[in-house]
Amino acid sequence: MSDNKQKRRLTEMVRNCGCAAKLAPGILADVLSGLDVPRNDNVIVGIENSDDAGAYRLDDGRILLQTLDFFPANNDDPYTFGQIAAANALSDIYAMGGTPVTALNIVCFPGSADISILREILRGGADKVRESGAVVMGGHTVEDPEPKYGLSVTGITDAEHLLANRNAAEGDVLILTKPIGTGIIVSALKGGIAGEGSAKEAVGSMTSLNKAACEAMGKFRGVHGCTDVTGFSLGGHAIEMAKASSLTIEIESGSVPVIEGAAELAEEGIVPQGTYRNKDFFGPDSRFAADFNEDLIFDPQTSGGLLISVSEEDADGLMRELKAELSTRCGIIGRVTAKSDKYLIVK
Amino acid sequence: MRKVLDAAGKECPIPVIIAKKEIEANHADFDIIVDNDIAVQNLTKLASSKGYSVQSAKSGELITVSFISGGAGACEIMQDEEIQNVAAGVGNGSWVVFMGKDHVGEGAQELGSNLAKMFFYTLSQEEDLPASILFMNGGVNLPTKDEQVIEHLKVLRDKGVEILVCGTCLDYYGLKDELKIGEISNMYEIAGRMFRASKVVTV
Repeated sequence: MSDNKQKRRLTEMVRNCGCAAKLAPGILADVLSGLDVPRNDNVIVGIENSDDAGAYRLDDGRILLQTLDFFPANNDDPYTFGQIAAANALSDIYAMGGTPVTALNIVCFPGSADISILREILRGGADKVRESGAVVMGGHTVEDPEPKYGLSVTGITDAEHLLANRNAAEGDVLILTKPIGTGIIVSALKGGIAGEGSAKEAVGSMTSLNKAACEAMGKFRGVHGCTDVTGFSLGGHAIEMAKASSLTIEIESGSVPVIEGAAELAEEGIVPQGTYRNKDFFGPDSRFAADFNEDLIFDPQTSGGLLISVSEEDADGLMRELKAELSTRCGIIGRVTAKSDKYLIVK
Repeated sequence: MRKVLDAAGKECPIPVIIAKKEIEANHADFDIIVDNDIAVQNLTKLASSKGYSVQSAKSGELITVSFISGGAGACEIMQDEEIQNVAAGVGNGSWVVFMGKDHVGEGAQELGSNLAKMFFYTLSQEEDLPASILFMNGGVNLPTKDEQVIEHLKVLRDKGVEILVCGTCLDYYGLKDELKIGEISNMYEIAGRMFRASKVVTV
């Protein structure tokens, strides 16, 4: 620290960390249902779809993707926080099968804090945007006692590669490209009790772009639907995909990759508030047939992996490709079936 | 007096971490004050994973979560009138019963023995239950030989009351194999329960 303006840790300045800070899904659904949204034939994926990004058909047939994501600091290292926030924002474009093109910074920062911290946050973000191949064109900064950062990202895709969460097909296999448990580990980090291995795996996962996973998906015609796993948790995003596709998703709990130490921490009560909100909202749509900790399935993820619905024929090929390209643990975690009593069944 | 930790105004996961450090440092019962329901739920998980039971009492904005060792994760949330009792220091979990003999009062032995049966029946029907019932010296005759008292003790145990029986006393009377209910304990634990209780009831 360059002066005594700023002695507090970044995560001490915020109440909720990362995507755990998302407004409760129930409240959001209520607000949106009362909103009069003008219709436009060029909007392929809009506000009513609960999807990752909006999709708009351009005159030349290409599809414009737009998304925005920002959240309070979830790591004490400002450069790392910047990387995580950017990887998380860019992920929505990848989840739609797109390529990020431009990005704008969204910043909230305390006027009293050391400005070099902000510089590091933005440097982390810019480095991830550069890695994605997109460019930062500007941004907007607001004074706020809680430091927050994120980006609005614009991407491009075409009709052939557009991946909405509503197109999962019966008989598909589900692949998850990153382990779950970042909400728990970020909480533990905030409390200073995360193990070194847990912290390393979580930060490594959160700063990884979903770019390679998206490029791998692009090679297989059997990929039907995709979403990225963020604040609404693996369970919540799976339920949104199942609902949008009018099918049921079965998750094999034993196959879900979980960050080292996350299960033990959850059992000891290191459970973020977002988990309880997710359980309240998504719990009624799920059934647990296995003795698996619900706090993992509903743990809000920051910069989580892609949840891919792919035909059985292409699943092994895609898994081979992902394993070769990704630094994060990934796996086949379940399947898509005809609609049964619940949208999500955890076996 | 049991230790009271103040975690009011602290966001998750700080209350859990404070409680975890307390458990690891002292292995004793304690109370922690929080101000939100998420913290209560997370503390209940911690208690369960560490072999404690918890009781929570709400008073205005603040919730006192009591960690009680040896309770294997039971959770009971007290409401309204019970809260008043807790505030007065007589709530479930803050007082104990000490039985140093197998009868109630002094006088005719037969009457004293019948009064003991009635005492435990009455206790089992109470809403405000003690945290523990402690048997020492001649008191160990009750959880070993008195079938009626044993039945009442089963009811109390099922309601989460801890039953500790002095092991030295069982040995002395040759009753160790006869124990029908309760855990074999020692002076350290039994005396500790009494020292930390808001009141000790002896009959």
